[in-house]
Amino acid sequence: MTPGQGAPDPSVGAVLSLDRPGMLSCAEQGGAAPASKEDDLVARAASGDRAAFRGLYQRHRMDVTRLVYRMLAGSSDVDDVVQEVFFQVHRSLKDFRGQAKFTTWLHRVAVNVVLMHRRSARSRPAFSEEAPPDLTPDDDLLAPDEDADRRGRIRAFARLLDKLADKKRIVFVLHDLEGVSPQEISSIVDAPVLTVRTRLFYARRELEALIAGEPALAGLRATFAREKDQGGSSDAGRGAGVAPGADEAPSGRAE
Amino acid sequence: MTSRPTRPSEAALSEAALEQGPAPALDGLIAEARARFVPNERPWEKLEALLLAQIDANGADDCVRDCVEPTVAQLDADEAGPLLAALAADARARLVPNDRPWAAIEARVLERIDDELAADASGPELEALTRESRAHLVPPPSDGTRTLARVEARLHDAGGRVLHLPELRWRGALAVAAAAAAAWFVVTSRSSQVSFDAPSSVAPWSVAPSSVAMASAGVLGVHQGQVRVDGVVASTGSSVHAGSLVEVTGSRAIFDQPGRVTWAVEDTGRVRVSRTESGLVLTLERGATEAQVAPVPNGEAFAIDVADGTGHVARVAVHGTHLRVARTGRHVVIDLTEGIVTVGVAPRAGSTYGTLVTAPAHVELDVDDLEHVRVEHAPTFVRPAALLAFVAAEGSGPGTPTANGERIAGADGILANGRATPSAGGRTLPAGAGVEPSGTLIPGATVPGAAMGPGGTGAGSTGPGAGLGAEGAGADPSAVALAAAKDCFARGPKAKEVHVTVSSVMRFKVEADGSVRTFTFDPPISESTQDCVGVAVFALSAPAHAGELVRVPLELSR
Repeated sequence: MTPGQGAPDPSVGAVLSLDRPGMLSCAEQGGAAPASKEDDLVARAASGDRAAFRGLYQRHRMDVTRLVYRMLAGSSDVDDVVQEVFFQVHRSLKDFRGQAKFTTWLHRVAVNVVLMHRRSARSRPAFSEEAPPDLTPDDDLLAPDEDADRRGRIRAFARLLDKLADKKRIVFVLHDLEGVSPQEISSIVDAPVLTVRTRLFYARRELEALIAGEPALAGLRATFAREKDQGGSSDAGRGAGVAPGADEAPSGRAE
Repeated sequence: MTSRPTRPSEAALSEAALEQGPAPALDGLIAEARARFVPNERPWEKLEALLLAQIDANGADDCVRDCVEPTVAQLDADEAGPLLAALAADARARLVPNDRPWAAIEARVLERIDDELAADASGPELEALTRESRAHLVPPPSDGTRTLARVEARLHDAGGRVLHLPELRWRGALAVAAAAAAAWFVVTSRSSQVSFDAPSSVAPWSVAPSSVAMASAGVLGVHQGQVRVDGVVASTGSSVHAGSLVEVTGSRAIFDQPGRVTWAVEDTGRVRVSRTESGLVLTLERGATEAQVAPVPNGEAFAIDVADGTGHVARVAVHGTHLRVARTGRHVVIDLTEGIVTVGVAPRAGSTYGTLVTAPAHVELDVDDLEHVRVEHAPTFVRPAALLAFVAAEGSGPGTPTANGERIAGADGILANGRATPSAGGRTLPAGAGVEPSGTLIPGATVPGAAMGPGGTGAGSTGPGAGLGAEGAGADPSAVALAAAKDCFARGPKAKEVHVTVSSVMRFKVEADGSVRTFTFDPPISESTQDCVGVAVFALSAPAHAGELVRVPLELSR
């Protein structure tokens, strides 16, 4: 890497090389391997380096936010919980010994904060129903009515997820939505792999039963039956994109 | 455990059987599970459902050991499911260590479960919804600036010093600039928060940048041993604030937040002040802390948090009482001698919800398992309260600067020892019980082992309080009495522009056992002051001065 190439990464910190005054080395420009760069950020953040903590935050905030959003089934408390996660991360960084991947540890903190939030919320009086999740604007060029249908399905599915017991919901979200392996989930939730698999098995079974009884999803069976008759795909609606990490190949987009 | 029938043939579960593939081994496991756990035909699906429900409630490890046997007793006959067999294998590995190749069996079972999950009848609807959710059940886009700002604001409120600019290699002349830059960041970041957050959520940030001074969490009283605040040895009169880390060795340290809380950190204890506004919150990192709390009309006056470093934080919230909280790793012990506390998950804001506990109570819990809080109300289980006799630095009084030169916001004087006012919890000795106060933290004093609180049994030296304050052998009764008299008198009523001075002589005798039974003031002073002094003096234990007649000349002023 040529010194001076690209703008310096502020998250790395302004440590100047004695060898080349005024220039950042390749490593300091972010050219280090991802794992060692993360280890460096973690170590520096644990020692109180604000820039390093910000770097960690920026690296992981989207994943954490998405995970929390899905575990809370789109609740409006997501921002508060994400804030709490990173607050706890900062407080607990000194306890991270590096035996597991940082992301595994981070997910564990996130899961525990979500569980605590839900337990705390259950104790509080609830005066009104939660607003439906604020879904991302659709950019798949669906017709308005199809987009509305999809939003309705997602909201309904989020409500069903919320009905699962915490432990089942967490493994379902981590495995089926986030694509985390059972072994890593086992570390995150601190349960044997066998238990993780068992919870996942029963989470799926329970969701299927809930889907069958959910009025907002009554049209789904009809949609599948119709598409099957027409020889189309089995996706619910057209243009169902696949997020990174899923095993299935992306489905085609209807013209 | 019920007795188990004879196992099926070893051949059914031999390595050879495993080589034939998972199905025969699994079938054999099912048969063996039936034979071992359930002597009769059972509804296996229902058993699975019940076991899973208990796993959800209790966790698989404990449940496999504790749930299978009792659950089995409730069932009807049916066909065993493969997952039950897997559970049975897992249980067997824990319950019956023997020569079976359980690791290999379990590996095969896990493979089978993997196959089942992969080929699972996840109906097409669930599969489609899952796929759709991966793409569209995502949060609205955001650059995260606001959340980061809030996190940093909370970190700053918790101590500020946890965030600092990266160290530069050339310390010299740059050090001053770096420090100035850090201070600039702290001051301006606080004011800049207002532009991000809604007004209702930024009360702490509405303080003008120039008013960065933080509310005191308390002033350190006279003490023995060593007390460090943020790594620096602290002197009597030192003030601690939000973010301060207090570490105590060789004795017990008492801090006083006048009119609110008197709190102590015991020997080898480590406590961080987490918050000072809207109620004092301490985080107990090691050892034990004890507190006497004045009640508040609403909200929580005081709280102690215990965190385990993986996001679990338990809180003991106080509305006005006397309690002691100690931790050993994740295990927390609470002894409540007066009032009511709430034990639950530490909230980000607002009151704590959880288990309400009334005194007297001995409570035990684990930080990561707040659903199982064990409470014992029998007074014999409750550790006696220590008398948190705060002794201020000599010369300090209402409105006077502390050793640090700061004036304590809202302080109208440093508490004297013997704070036994009703507002502090109403500690009274049971009538006729002859029970003496369970202890004093006045330097050098030992603590008699009497039980305390309603229904206290006065168990004497064998009670839980016995042995506290063993450092008291060298207590100087006259010094203790002098300090108590000065502080108690200083708390008396004050008139504007009138300076009151009283001269008197206090006399008492140290009994053979080191205690003090009576004392006199000549000439007498006000009853309230005498009562206040009495609480401390009666709590003395100075066996090294047994038999001495003590005379303490007093010049008291306020």
